[in-house]
Order: sequence, then C-alpha cells, then structure tokens
Amino acid sequence: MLYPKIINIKKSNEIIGILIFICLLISGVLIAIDFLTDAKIMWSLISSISIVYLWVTVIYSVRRGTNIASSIMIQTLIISIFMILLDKIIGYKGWSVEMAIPIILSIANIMMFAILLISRRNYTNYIIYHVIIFGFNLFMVILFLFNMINNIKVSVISLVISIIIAIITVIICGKDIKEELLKRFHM
Amino acid sequence: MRVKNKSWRKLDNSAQIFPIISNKKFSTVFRISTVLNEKISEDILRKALKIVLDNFECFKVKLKKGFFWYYLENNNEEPIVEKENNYPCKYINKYTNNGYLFKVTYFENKINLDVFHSLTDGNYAVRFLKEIVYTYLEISHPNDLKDNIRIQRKVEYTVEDSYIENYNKKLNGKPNTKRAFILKGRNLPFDAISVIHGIIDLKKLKEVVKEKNVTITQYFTALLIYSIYEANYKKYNGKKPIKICIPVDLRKYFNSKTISNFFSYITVEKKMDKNDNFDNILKFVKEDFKRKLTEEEIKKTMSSNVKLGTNILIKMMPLFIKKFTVKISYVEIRKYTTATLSNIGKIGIISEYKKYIDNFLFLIAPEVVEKIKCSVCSYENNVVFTFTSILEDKNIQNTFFEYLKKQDISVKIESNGV
Repeated sequence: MLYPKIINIKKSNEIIGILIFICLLISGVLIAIDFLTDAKIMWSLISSISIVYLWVTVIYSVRRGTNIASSIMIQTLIISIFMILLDKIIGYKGWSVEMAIPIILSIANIMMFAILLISRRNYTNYIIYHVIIFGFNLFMVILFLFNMINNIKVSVISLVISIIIAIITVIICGKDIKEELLKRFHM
Repeated sequence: MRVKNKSWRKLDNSAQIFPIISNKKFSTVFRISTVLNEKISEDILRKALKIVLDNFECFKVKLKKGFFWYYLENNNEEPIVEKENNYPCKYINKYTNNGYLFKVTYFENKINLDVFHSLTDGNYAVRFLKEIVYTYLEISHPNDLKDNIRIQRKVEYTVEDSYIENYNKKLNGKPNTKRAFILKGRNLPFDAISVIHGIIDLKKLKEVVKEKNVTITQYFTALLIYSIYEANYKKYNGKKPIKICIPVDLRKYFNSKTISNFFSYITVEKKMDKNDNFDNILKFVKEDFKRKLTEEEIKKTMSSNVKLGTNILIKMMPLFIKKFTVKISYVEIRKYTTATLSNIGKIGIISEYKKYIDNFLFLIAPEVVEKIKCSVCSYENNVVFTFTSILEDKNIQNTFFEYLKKQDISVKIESNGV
C-alpha cells in the first residue's frame, strides 16, 4: 500500500464551526436580554465585542510559529480598537484616546524593548513590528494635531518613551535595522 | 557547496509568482517520493534530513513578505518529519511546518518530499531527496554502506537567478493567449486528490516508441491528448483545442548549476478533428515538438517571461497591488492549458544503494482549472506515469493505461484509493 486512507479531514473545521455557532448563540441571547431589560448602556455589545476579541486572540495564538512581536502588535491594535468602542458605547468621554491607548502603546514599546534585551539575536525578526508600533505612536500625534485629543499629558509621556526606546534600539541594532529595511524593500 | 553567508536572498524570476498565486486550492506544490524495500523509521529519517540539510543550506529558508516582493530568509527552526496524513501535494502551511518550504513525510516503505515551487524545481528536489535516501540508508545499514565514496555525492550548486543571467532582452516569444479546452466533470468532495500511478515496463515502452520513431515524452503527450479526446472532450462536446503544457529543464540549454528554479515550457496545441486517431495525433505532436523544442524557441519563451518580471513598472508596484493584479490575470491565464505533463526523466542511483530502493514517484498538484496533472519519472526498468486529479471520473486515466496495455506494454496500477 502506497498511501494512507485519509479520513475526517474536515473534523477540526467542524469543531471550530460548532464553537463559532455556540458563541453566536450566546451573543444573540445576551443581546435579547439587553433589549428586554431596557438597560442604560448597551452592555450586550461590549460582551459581543469581547467574544470577537477572544476569537481573534485564540486564532492568532494557536498558529504555531507566530512571532511574539507580531502578537504584541496585533494585541496593541485590537485592544486599542476595543477601548475606543467601549468608550463610545458607555457615552464617549475621550478616555480611550487620551489615557487608555497611550498607556497601551507605552506598555507595547516597553515590551518590545524587553524583547530586544532578552533576545538580541532574534531581534531582526521583530524590527518591522517595532517600527509599526512606533508608527501607532506617531498616529497619536496626528490625532492631537487635528484636535481630536484634548488632554495630551499621557500621550506626550507615551511618545517620549517610544522615542527614547527607538533611539536606544537604533544605537544597538542600527546595522540590523538597515539590513531588515533592505530586505523588506528590495526591488 | 556553501553559498555566501547572507541571511536572505531574492526569489528567482519564476519563483516570484508562486507565493502570489498559491493558496489552499492552488498549492503549486510537487512531490517526489521513493519507495524503499523496508519500513521507514521516523527517527532515522529525521536524523538523515538534519544531516542533509547542512549540505543544502539553501533549503534552510522560510518565505517572508517584503514591500515589493517576497524573499527567502534563513530558517533556524528544526525541520519537521511526520507520518503522511493528508493527500499529496497539499498547500504547505508555514505555521505547522516551522516555516520550511518543503515537507518530509513517510508512510510504510515510502518517503515523500513535498516541495513548494518557489524553493526549487524538480531537478534539485530529486537531488535533495536522493541525498536524504542515501543518508537514511547509511544510518540504517552502516556496515553495508560504510565503504561508500562520499565524494561522489557532493552536490554542487549556486543560488544565482539563472533566468536573469541568461535571458536575452532582444528575443520575443509568441505568447500563449488562446483559451484551451478545460476538462469537465464533477470534482471530488472534501478537496480530495486522486492519485493513479501506472508503473510501465521501460524496455517494452522503448521498443514501441522506437518503432514509431518518437521520444517517450512525445508518445505520452500524444496518448494524453488522445485519452482526453476520447474520454472527456467527445462526451462534453469540446470545441477549443487541447493544450498540453510541457515544462523544460533549462539547464540542458544553458550552463547553470543553480539550485533555484530554472525551467521554461512548451505548449503543444492540438485542434481536434472528428477523424483524429492516436497515430495522427502522435504525428502532429512529433512535428509540434520539432518546431517548439528548439534552443531558439526555448530562449524566446524564457526571455519573454523574464522581461515581464524585470519590467520597472512591475518592480515598483507594491506587493499587495501585484498580488491583486496577478491573481486577476491568472484567472484568465490558467484557462490557456488543458493539462500539464512533466517528465523529470531517469533517476540515477549509486549502484550499492539500488538493492534497498524499489521505485521513485513524481506527482504534481492538480487545481480547479487544470483538474488533471501528469508526471513521469523512471527508475531502473520502470517508468512511472502518474495522474493526479480532482475529478471523480477516471475515464481519462483508464483510456490512457488501457491503450498502453493494448500495445502489449505491461502496466501495473497503484493508487491512493480515492
């Protein structure tokens, strides 16, 4: 016999399908309760977004070989979006962009710096994600320039942290960064 | 041969296209397998692979996405060896394969090497598998093979892009821009792939092709066109020509030792007629080969393809736009071929190792437009003609092998039971 019998090739997909169905069912039930109880805020929307966040995290994390820096970048992005939505749902006060996101970005930058110190040899695999996280910080500056942020204290602290970390990173890994950019932008 | 110690390298001119167009249903993966006369040990196979990879450092790479193009970067992860548990030539998932662009699996007496086409072509994939097999046998039979002269097996290669080195800007090939007859019929469920190997007696086959004054590839091409005509074209009232794409190893025409892809192709295009029979199809194929399989024509086709990849506007296009445009163009381009027939020829083995090896198999991934792909390799007195297909109907395969049997050529059929 030259080949094995292939069976249940779709089984894992079926299990994922069942889990997605259960989550949709839970979301539906929560939204129904929310409507029936006449709550002041749409708490069912928060729980539904949380379920989506859980799925994105699970799907991204179970992929073997996922780059740790890309996980930090993805988490930074989706938690930031989650914070904005949360702020919006409970009556927009601006705490998401003025406080939460700058703090998340600072944590992400510090984590990237920790990775650089712990795993210097593998840092070339993480550079591009560090650059993107730094880009998120610059995006906060743009928001400020367009008057979308009133209280900029936390944002400034976050930007200063990211610039200091970026300068130290360039000093330590300048050659690697140049090589990485050459690779990524070769024609 | 070790290559210059650089952590990354560009993809060669034809390899650039494969990551852009490939997906789960269009894997662009091919497989070379060897069947030994003994059960495979996973531990020995893993050891052998690790040893061989040290001599094939160019295969220790993963595919990365740049802003303009994909590229290959050194991969320090462990290569994965596992028991075969899926259909052959399936899409290689980088997350479950530690980023490697090849996959080594085994089943009973068989070792499989599935290769994503961006890594290399059939020529060097065969060399890589042969090295794995030699090393495997040396570990499992240390006393029998200890005196082997290892220097004989030194594999010399470069990683140059031989397309760029050898193409001629002034040459222009005639592009293949006419739609071909597309095979019809119900597809197999669950993304299954059917595999049918016809293990053909080489000696008898040689007698038959000598009598007809054609080559084995010409004979098989004609028989494939005839089988498609009889078993599918007539049934579905086909109108467009049957077009068979035949890859050509360019190393025969240029002095190249590149481990990267270096192949071109010719397309045999037969407009079918009610009075067509095997003999006049064979006569047509022989003449078409004569016209198209010349050094000049091959160089023209290669140069035209290379010029497209070196076009400054295409080079400057960001990858996501390239992906979008190439994917759209490929919806049309794929309709220009009915089936592919790839013959990698004779696989030679050092005589001391032959007693441990029963056969070699070569398979190419079929896809939703080219529903059947054919591949040929030979070892000792066997030629193995393989059909990989996503069609439920097996009439083309049956017609093909029945015709050979009618010519008194012995054919032993093996399949994956799909």
